[in-house]
Amino acid sequence: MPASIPLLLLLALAVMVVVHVVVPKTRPILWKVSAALGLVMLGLLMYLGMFYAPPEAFMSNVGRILYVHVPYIWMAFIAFLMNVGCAFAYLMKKSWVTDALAESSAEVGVLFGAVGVAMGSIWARPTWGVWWDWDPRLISTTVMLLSYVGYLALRSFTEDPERRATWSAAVGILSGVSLPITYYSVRWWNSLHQVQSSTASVDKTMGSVLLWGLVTLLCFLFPFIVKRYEIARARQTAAMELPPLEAPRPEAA
Amino acid sequence: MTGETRNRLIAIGAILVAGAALAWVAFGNIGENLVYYWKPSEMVAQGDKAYGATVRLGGVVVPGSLKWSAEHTSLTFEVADNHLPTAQKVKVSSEVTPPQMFREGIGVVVEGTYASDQVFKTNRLMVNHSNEYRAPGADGGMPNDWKGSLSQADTTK
Amino acid sequence: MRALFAGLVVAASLAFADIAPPEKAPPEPAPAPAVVEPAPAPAPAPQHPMGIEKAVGSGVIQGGWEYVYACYALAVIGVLGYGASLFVRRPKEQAS
Repeated sequence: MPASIPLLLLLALAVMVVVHVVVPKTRPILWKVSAALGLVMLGLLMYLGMFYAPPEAFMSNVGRILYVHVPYIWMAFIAFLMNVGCAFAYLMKKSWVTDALAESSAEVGVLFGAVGVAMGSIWARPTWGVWWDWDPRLISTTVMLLSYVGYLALRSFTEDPERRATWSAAVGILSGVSLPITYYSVRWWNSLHQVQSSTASVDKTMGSVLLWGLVTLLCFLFPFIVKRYEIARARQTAAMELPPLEAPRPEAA
Repeated sequence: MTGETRNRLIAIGAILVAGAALAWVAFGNIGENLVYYWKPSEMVAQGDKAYGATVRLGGVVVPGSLKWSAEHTSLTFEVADNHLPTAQKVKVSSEVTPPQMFREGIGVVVEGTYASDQVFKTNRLMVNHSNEYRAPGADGGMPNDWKGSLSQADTTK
Repeated sequence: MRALFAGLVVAASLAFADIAPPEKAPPEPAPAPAVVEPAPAPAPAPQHPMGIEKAVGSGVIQGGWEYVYACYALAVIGVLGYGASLFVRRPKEQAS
């Protein structure tokens, strides 16, 4: 399979996301198209990853975990980056949209990150020989996930929507520090985890299957963030409709 | 709007704190304090300080150095900084079953203690994989090749 | 309540009495040889490698499909499970 096939699908997905943002009328449909495409691609990924792709020279069949572990972790990174962007945007200009998107992307990122780390642990057992070791990459990833779990906890414990939006945005930016640390941990310090692969260090067929896996999970990332965003928006609206606990602040004090 | 201004101040404050934290981690000496493993040269450079404490040693298994004791209960091999012949080496003795990927030339991280007899005794042997993903035979060498040299090495005695 | 507590105490002490070795237990020299025995390594013939080197593989992972299946299963469960959780939590207006 040439890499152009997943690249074309990626292009189609990108168009869908842009249309979704620009043309509100398409919003009820496009996430469904993306999710359906994702399901089909996921089914094919099982075949491509487990049977079509060659075994790895030394990891043999265990190397096939690459095609699901890396995409999951990437989705977590994309979602967390989005969270940082939304947090910053909210503080620059108050908006319930960016606040809800920040909540949505943080939760989706924690999901993908946690599952990705679990896969990594399973992969580590046959290759490294251990389920877990506190190497810099695993420490920084754990810190990253925990800081976003903390972010979500803060959100759920804060009742006042505006206070929640402001302070969680600040925490979101602080949590964002863990992203470059996690990414560069394998380069900055001696670690058990290998450094990032490149197109030169991955065989062509394996690379295109990996790309397929990335596009597959992007097809899920998009509807997940959209649907979780709608839940966050509904909660915001519900909180606004509640009678305020205290008298509202006078407009001109 | 005071609320908006306050929010921007919060943003600037958060970014400053975040940037400072990142700079501290990236450029500070945290890397020297939080060492996951020592390379052989780093461990030897510690001198007597390296003896006795439980530490991790990481490097590559020197080709041709893999041997097992006459009692067939322990493996010994040398771990080097890198593949260069001039690289600093440390002798390692392991009694645990190595992971299947263990072979000469591969990267390993061993946890254990270094003693004054210049042998690093380990009870936790981890193998690391490079960032290369190749189909079998793509790199030319048969993965099994090293086994021939291993049988020649046979026992230490 | 007090009776129950007393009963518990009695039961617990009985349980401990059961576990605790009796005072007049004979000394146990019996396990000692058992500890010594594993010391001779499982090395039938020095010429023929049958010891730890047998544990040294070819440098290539053999099998391991169960790890692959586990990860691919997680990949599917992660996506479908989160999708289901979003469906369960969907805003009420959408349901109508």
